[in-house]
Amino acid sequence: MRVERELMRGAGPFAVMKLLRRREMYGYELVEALLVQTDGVLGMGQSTLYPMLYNLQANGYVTSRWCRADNGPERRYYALTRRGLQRLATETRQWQTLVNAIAALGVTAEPSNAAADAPA
Amino acid sequence: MTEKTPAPVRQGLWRRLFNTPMRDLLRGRLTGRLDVRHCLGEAEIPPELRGIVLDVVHRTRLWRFEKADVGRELTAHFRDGLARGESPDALAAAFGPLRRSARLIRRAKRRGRSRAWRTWLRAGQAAGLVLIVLVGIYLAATIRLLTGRPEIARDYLVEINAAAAAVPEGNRAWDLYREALLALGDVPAGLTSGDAYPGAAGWPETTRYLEQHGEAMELVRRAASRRGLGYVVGDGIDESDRPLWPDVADVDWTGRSLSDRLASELLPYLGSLNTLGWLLSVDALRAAELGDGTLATADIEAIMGIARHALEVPLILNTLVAFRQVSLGVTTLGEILADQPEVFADEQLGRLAHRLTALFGGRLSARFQGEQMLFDDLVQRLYTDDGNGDGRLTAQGLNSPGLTNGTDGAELLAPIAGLVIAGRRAYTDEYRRLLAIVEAEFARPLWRRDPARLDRETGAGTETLLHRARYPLIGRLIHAYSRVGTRPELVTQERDAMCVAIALELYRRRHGGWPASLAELIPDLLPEIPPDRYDGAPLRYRLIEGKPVIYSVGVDRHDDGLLPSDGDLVLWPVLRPQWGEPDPAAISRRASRGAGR
Repeated sequence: MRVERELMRGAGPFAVMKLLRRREMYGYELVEALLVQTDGVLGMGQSTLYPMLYNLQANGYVTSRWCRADNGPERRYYALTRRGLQRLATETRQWQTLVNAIAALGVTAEPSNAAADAPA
Repeated sequence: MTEKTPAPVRQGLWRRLFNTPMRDLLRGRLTGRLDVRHCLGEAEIPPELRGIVLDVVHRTRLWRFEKADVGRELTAHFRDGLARGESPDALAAAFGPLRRSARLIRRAKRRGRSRAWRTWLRAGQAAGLVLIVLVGIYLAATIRLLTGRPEIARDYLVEINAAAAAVPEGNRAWDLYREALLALGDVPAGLTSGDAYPGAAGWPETTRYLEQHGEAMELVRRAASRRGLGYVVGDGIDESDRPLWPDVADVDWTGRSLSDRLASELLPYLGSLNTLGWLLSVDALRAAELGDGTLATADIEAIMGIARHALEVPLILNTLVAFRQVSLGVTTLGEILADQPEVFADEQLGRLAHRLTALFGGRLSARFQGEQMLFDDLVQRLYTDDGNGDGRLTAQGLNSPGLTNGTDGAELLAPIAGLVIAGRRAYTDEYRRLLAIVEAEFARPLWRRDPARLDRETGAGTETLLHRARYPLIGRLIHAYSRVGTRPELVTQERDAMCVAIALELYRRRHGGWPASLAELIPDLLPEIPPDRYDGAPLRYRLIEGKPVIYSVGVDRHDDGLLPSDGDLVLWPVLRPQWGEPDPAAISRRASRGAGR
């Protein structure tokens, strides 16, 4: 099931930052990861992903570098910055609050504990 | 999805050079990596995907290195997808809408640019916005200016000429003056150069000329005795007057403002009146030399008549000419009275004294009615009229002949002027306010005046740039007015001194000697001693070597007892002024001579 654009607008950057929290990743890798890990719900094309990455970079949440890994082709890798980590923590708390609120309405099952993933 | 399938581009030296970043060039590398098309060719991706990259990159309209960066990343993305086994069609389909993608990429990339660039962009946008607003205001002002029409509601020329036009035909003094001027022809240069004085080298020639033109001089005296002058100003030169002033240009006055039509060079009759006054003065001296007191009296009275005629038109210029004539008549009388007092009979002296004291209703002052009319005429030609005394500036008014003609860029600046310059009511009110201050100051006698106070109250020299912009011209007009107020007071002083001199002469005739003080003239010969216009105290009087001297303390307001080189001003006996402006140095010499007698 595809998510409405309005919902995606808030969830997309959060999801990308969440993926980058573990390690640096390049564009196609992020597309793949989102597709697989969210079962296609948060899948996005280049036309959405790259503007989103450039925005995150403009806001100072991610940084990038061109790198040739294992003699493979040259790619641009994105990594979360300290500022991005703080932002991720904030957004995680907000999402948790939102999910709890939605759950309290009986829309979802038990509230998850996403806040546990937030950095210290 | 795009249909373009561009072929790889071969990169020549110049193309490579052009597409190499400065940083690479400085390192000695000719990379050509800003050339997206070439880089795509080297990336070995299918033409349809290459087309997508090129299309998106092109649409972003970013800087060249930003485009190269985006192109490189999108290419890497497709290459990764192909490496994972995806088909070009699937990759192209998954890309999303190109136009939206390009727009979002552009927006995000621009957001990531440096703070300095964004500040510059904001400043540019702000400047652009301001420019647009200013252009809008300018256009609105232009429309406002162009849609207004001035309405010439009052013919001030008629009002200025009211007194002249009321003089019945056949009784106009000007008709006789004209006839006399034509008969006199060109006045000899020696007569108007200050050489026309008994004992001067040119005196015989002067007397000969006056004798030859006795009839013309009689015409002048007859003219001066008439009630009204009847010379209508502002309509150009009448054909009957044309022989008098052949050099005055004939101008089309249609649409011209009053101040244009009444420029000094267009009032040549005032110059002619001055000439006639001077001839009468010289003729009075000649009459005195001949012992003809009746003719001398008639000449002096005729000078006063000319002064009265000059005042028929209520302009400051006319007022100044009138005062000049009064001063000339007083000086002429004073000269004869000092050198040949026996020429005048008692009755003649009494008559002259009464004429002097009654002149202009007894009060000599600057009048600004004509100048107000000139101003009001200008305003009605510049502004619209809403019927309640207000209105706005008009293009037609600003472009009226004689106002801004020939001023570079006047048309372009006119809408701005329309915004800055005060509206009709405010403009007029400001003029009247300042004029009232000047008139109030001039209503005071000279000794109670304070030029610094006048400057302060009228804001002369201290008015702000905004005030000058809102009320153009007014400051200059008021400044010009404020400089003519002293002259009437000084002429009043000359006249008062001459009345005292007449009283002294009559006293001498009755008592066989000069009085010890002016108080002895009261009440038989004078009701009171006239005030010194500089300090308000009675005019000063001294007997020096048996000869009387009437004097004023002068501008320093200190009685120095007529010491040489002091500031006291000798009022009688006086030195004959030169033709043209009075010569202070000559008057001072005369005063010294008078004091020494």
